[in-house]
Amino acid sequence: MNSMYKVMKIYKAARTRFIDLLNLDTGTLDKVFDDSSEVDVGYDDFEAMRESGVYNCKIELFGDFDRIKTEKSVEVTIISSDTIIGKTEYFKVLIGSDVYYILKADAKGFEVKQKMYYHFTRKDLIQVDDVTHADCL
Amino acid sequence: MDAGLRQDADANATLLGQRTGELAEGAGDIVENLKPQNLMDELAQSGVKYNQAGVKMVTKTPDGRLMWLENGDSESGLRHIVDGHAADFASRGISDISGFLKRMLQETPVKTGATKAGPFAEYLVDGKKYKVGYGANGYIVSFYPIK
Repeated sequence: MNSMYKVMKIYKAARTRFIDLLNLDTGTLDKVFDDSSEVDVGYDDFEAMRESGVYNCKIELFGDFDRIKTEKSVEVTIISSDTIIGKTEYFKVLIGSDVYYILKADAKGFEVKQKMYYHFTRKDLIQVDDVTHADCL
Repeated sequence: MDAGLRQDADANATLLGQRTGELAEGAGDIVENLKPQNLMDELAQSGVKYNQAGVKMVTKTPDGRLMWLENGDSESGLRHIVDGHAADFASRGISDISGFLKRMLQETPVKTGATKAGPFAEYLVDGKKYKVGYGANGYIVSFYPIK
């Protein structure tokens, strides 16, 4: 399952940027954080992304699992427990119909079930087409 | 984490430090000064371009590098950090970003490197990682929690 996104707006700062991505399958607008250029020189980054461009993207949720539902947590449905992006292990999850990725390391100390609660404050861009964020490599 | 890293005390410390510009003490807590005069003097004498009125914090790393945080704007500095990452810091119990950054920079990073735009360093604090991007002159550009 590939998720195609259209770049709606780029908010560029000196070293990082936020990008509004429209999921073309679900209509969800995600504001994602891109710090792919904030890594050692020599790694590929996502700087080639341009407004109105359409890309195959993977988005990581930046947060933690919760044992119970809280005001801040959402229910995620784990659809794959053995997804590897670069060299990093992820859960592939659904929130509604939208696909996201959560670090498997976040589940340390938790009993992994198909449906779990997770709270997050940021959505991180970790893959664009065939370019993977250096932190995943 | 030692008592000096308590967030409530830190928030008070920052406010007091900003008001007095000197080491202050209150409610039984030793509070810190984010802009020690000796480091402000060193910054002034270093020859780097900086906005003295906008300096929020200045410190020195274990290897002797002078680093400072300015109010900045939407692209760099404290405003940029707060606009983009206040919620990320809050989720880790950090409300006083300037004070936390100062204490972190006084530790040894777990990783350093150089991007196309300048150096970066990663730190591990209480098992959680943080990344700071800065100019070759020591000006802090970006700072945010990472996995």
